[in-house]
Amino acid sequence: MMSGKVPPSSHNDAPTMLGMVAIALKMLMGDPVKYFGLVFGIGFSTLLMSQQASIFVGLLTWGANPVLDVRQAQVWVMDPRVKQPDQGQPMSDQSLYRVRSVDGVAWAVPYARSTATVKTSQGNIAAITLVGVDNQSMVGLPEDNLANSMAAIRGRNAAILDANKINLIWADGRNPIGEVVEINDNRVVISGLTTALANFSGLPTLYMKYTDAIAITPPERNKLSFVLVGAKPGVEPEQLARHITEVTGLKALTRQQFAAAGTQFIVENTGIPISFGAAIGLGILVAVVITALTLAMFVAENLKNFGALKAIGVTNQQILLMVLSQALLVGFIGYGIGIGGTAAFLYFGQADPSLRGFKALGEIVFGSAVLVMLIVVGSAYVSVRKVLKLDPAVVFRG
Amino acid sequence: MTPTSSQAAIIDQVIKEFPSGNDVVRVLHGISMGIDYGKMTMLVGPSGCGKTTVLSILSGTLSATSGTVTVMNERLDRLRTDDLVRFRRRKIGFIFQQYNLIPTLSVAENAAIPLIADGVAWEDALNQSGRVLTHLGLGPHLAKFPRQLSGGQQQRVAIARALAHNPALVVCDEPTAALDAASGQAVMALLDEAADDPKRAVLVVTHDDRIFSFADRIIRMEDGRVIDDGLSSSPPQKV
Amino acid sequence: MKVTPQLLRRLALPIGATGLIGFAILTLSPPDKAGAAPPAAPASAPESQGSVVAALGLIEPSSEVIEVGSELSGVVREVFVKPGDQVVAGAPLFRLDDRALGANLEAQRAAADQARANSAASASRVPGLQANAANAAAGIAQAEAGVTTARGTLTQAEGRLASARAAADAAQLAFADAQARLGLYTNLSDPRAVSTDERDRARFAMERAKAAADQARAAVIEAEGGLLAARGGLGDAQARLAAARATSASARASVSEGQQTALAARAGAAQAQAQAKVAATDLDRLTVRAPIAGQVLRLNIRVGEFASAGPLADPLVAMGAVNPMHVRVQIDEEDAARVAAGAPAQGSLRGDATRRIPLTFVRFEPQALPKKNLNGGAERVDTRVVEAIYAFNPAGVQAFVGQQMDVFVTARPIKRAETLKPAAGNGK
Repeated sequence: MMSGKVPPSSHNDAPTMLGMVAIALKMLMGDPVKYFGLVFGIGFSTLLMSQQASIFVGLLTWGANPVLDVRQAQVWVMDPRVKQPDQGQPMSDQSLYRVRSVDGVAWAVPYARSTATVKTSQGNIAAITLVGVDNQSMVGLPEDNLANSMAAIRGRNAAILDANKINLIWADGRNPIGEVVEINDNRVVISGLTTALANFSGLPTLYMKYTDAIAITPPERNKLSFVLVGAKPGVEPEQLARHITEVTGLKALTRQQFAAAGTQFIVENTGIPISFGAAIGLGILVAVVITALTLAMFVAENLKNFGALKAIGVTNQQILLMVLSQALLVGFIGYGIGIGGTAAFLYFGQADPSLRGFKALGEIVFGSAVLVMLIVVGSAYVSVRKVLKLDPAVVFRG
Repeated sequence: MTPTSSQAAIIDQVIKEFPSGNDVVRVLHGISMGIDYGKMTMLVGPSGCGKTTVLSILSGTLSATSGTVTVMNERLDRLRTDDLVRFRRRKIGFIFQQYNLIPTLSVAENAAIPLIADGVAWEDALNQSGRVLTHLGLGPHLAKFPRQLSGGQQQRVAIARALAHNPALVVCDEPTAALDAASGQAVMALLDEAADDPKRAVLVVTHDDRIFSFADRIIRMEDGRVIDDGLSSSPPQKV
Repeated sequence: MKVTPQLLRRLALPIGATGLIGFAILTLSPPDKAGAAPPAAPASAPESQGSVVAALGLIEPSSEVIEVGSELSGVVREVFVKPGDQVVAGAPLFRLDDRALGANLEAQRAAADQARANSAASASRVPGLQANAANAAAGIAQAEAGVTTARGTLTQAEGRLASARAAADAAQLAFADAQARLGLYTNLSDPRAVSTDERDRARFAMERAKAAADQARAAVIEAEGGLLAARGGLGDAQARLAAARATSASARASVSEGQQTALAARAGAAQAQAQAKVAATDLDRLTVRAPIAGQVLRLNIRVGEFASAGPLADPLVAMGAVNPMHVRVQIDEEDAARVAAGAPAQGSLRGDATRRIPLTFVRFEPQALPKKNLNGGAERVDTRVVEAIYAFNPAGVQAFVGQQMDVFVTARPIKRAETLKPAAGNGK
C-alpha cells in the first residue's frame, strides 16, 4: 500500500484541488463575520464602482446618444466647425444635393436639430430640442413606437414627444397626446410619443417633419444641421465619409466617429470625468482596502491552521488555491450583489424619468467583474504570501 | 549508524543552526538516532533542549543544517520541497499540542484533511476518517465542530487526522500538554494502540512525565545533544 | 455530497449572487443597433444609374406659370372657370362688375346719339343755305346778263349814234354839195350854159339834201338820246349786278357757316361715338380671358372679391400648359460641369421615393441664378445654381405644378485628385 517512492514533482495535483477548494470554502463560510464582511465590502465597492461607472458612461453616452438614436444613418455630414451633435452650425440647403451627388451615397436626407422653447396651453414654458426629420424617409425618428410615430408626424405641425421627458413640460403627469403647444408663435400639436435615448442637454426632444421644423424656427440663413447618409452596399462608411469630405468640403463622420466626438466633447468640456473618476476610484479603493485587509486578516488569523495544514502536507500550490478560491468566492458573491444592486438600481430607476438614460452596459458589467477579480486575486496573493513563506515547523513552536 | 529495516526514521549527525541577529545559534549538535517501527518512542528533555527541532527535522518540516535524515528509506534532506510535502502527507501523521483543528470544519472533515489533500474523493475521505473517528470513540460527533468538543475529544480528532491516511510514522508534539490527566491518559492509550502496528512508528515529544509509562523507548535530550538514547537503559516503568 | 439544509444555506449566497449577475446580464441595455433601414424609402437614384448629380426639381407647366392679371380693378361678379379646368385661348376666366362702366356706356351712347342728331340737324340746314346761295348766284348771273344787255343796248345806241352821225355828216355833205351845185348854177355867167331845169333840179336836190341833212341831224339827236338812255340802262344793270353780288356773298357766307356748324356737329358726334366705343371697350376689358390654351392652376379670386389691376403677389388666376410638364432642376454650379446637355434623369416626387419618373432633357437655362431657398429664409452664401429644364409626361403621374422633385441626373463620375496621376514615362 505505501510505496517507499515518492512520485516525481511533475505529478499532477489536479485531483487534489477540488477537495481543498471545498475545505477552503468551508473554512471561509464557517467564519460569517469575515465572510459577510468580505462579501459586502466587495459588494458595496462593486456597487459603487459599477453604479458610478454606469452613470458616468451613461452621461458620456448622452453626448453620443443623439447620434446613436439615428440608427439608419451611417455617415453624418455637417459644417466643418461642428464638434458634437447638439452644436448647431447649419449648412446651406444645397449641401444636401451636393452630398447626394457623391458616388457611393445610397441616400442622403436632411436633419435639423435646434433648441426651442415651448409654451403650453397651461402657460408653462420649457426648453426643448427640436428635431426635424426628413419628411420622406423619416430617418431620425427613434425606433420606439416607430410605425405610430410615422403616422402621427404626418399632420401639419404635428410633433412626436420623447415620453421620457414629458414631466419637464407637464409636471402633472398628463398624457400629452393632443396637447397644443406654441413654438415661436406657431401652433404645434403633440400627436405621438416615442422614447429617445437621453441626451446631454437633458431637454425633451420633439420630433417634427423637417419642413415643419424649419418653418417654425426663427428665420436664420440656414437651417440644415446635418445631412444623414446611407452608403451603397459594399461601400465602407469610413471611406464614404472621407470621400464626401473630399468632394464637398463638408465634415463627414461615420456614426461611430461622430458618437465618439459627442462623448469626447463632454469629456473635454465638463468636470464629469473628474467627479465620476473620483467616485469610481473611491469604489476601487474601498474594494481594495476592504478586500485586502479582511482577507489578510482572515489569513493571518488562520495562520497557525495554515501552518498545521502545511505541516500535514498541504502544498503551497494548494494553499494558494485555497486562498484564491476563497477570494474568488467572496469576489463572485460580492460582485453579484454589487452588480445586481447596480442593475436593480438602473432597472427600477427606469421608473424615474431622470434616471431613464442610464443603462447597464455590458462593458461595465464585464469590466467590474474583471476589476473585482483583479482586486480579490491581488489581495489574495498579498495575503497568502505570508503563508507561502511560512515555515511549517512553526506549528510545533506554539 | 546504518539504517535498518526495523527503523522508520533515522537521523545521522544532524546539526541545526538558527540565525539569531548577526550570529548563529546552534540548536542541535550532531544528533543521531533511529525510530523503530511498532514502538512508541518518546523524546523528552527540558524546554529548549532541541527535542521539537528534532521532531521537525524528522518529520520533514524543517531542514537540517547538515547531516542526513532518512525516513522510510527516503533521504528527506535530498527531496525537493513539493516532494517533501507530498511525502509528509502520505507517510507521516502529525499531532500538535494545540490540536490545530480547523474550527470551521466538522470533526469528520478535519480528520479527512490529509486524505483530501492527497486527492482522495470527498466522500471516500469522509468515510475513511469517519471509520477512524468511530474507532477512536468519536462516532456520535462526526458532524460536530471542534469547539463543541472537549479538549480530549479534540485531540482524539487530531489523532484521527494523523491516522486517517494510515501513516508509517506518527509524530506527536506535546499531545497531552493541553489536556487534563484523564484525557491525556486516554489520548496516550489511543496512541499506544496505534504504535502497536508493526508497520508504524510513533514518536512523541513531551515533557509530561505522567505519560512516560506509555513509551516503549525514551530518548532524553539536553542542550541539543542526546544524553540517553533509551537503548542502554531499561525501559521505564509504567506508572 | 448530500443536499443538506446546511449546504443550501451555504449555497444561498453564491446562488443569489449568480441570480443577481444573471439579472444584471438580462437587464443589460441592448447593444447599439446600427444600420437599421430607413423607416420609409428615402429619395435615391437607382443602382443602375451609376454616378449622379442630385438636385432639387420644381415642377412647372411647360409654358411656365402665367399669372393672368386684370387690366382693370373691380369687384368680381362672375368666375367662369374652376381650378384644374382646361381652357382654350381666349376663353373668359372671370368678369368684373360692369355697372358703372355700363351706365357710362349708356350715357356715352346717348351723348353720341344726340351728337349724331345734332350733326344731322346741322347738316340738314346746309342745303337751304346753299339754295339761297345758288339763288343769289343766279341773281348775279341775271344781273350780269342785264349788264351785258345794257352794254349791248349801249353799243347799239352808240352804233346808231355813230351811224346817225355818219348819216348826218353824209347828209350835210350832200346838202353842202347840193348847195354848192346850186350856187354854181345860179352864179353861172352864161345862163344858156345850165338849163333852168338843171338849176331847178339842183335846187330841188339842194332842198332835198337840206331836208335830208336836217333829218339826219334829228336822227343824230335821236341817237344821242338813245345813247344816253342806253347808258342809263347800263348803269342800272350794273347796280343790280352789284346788289346781286352782295346778296350772293351773304348767302355764300351763311352756307359756309352752316357747313361749319354741321362739321362741328359731326365731329362731336364722332367723338361721342368714340367715347361710347371706349366705354364699350372698357366694358369688354372687364372680362378677363385666357391668354393661351392650358389649365387653370390657381384661382385666387372669387365672386365678390376685389380684383386689383397690375402685378400682384398672389395672381388672380394662374394658368399654364401642363402637357408636357416641365421640371426646373437646380443643379449646384459645382456639380454642373458633370452634367452634359441631354443627360437622362429620373425624379421622384416628395412622398413617394419608390416611384421614379423618367425625365427628358429640354434645355439649360442660359443664366445661372443665385439659389432660391424654398424653405424660407434667404441664403446669403452665394450659391449659384444652373437650371436645367426637363420634361415628363404627366399622364398617369399625380404631379402638381409647384411640387418639389428629387432629381437624379446621370452624370460623369467625380474625378478625384489622386486619380489624376502624371502619365507614365514622365518621371526620369
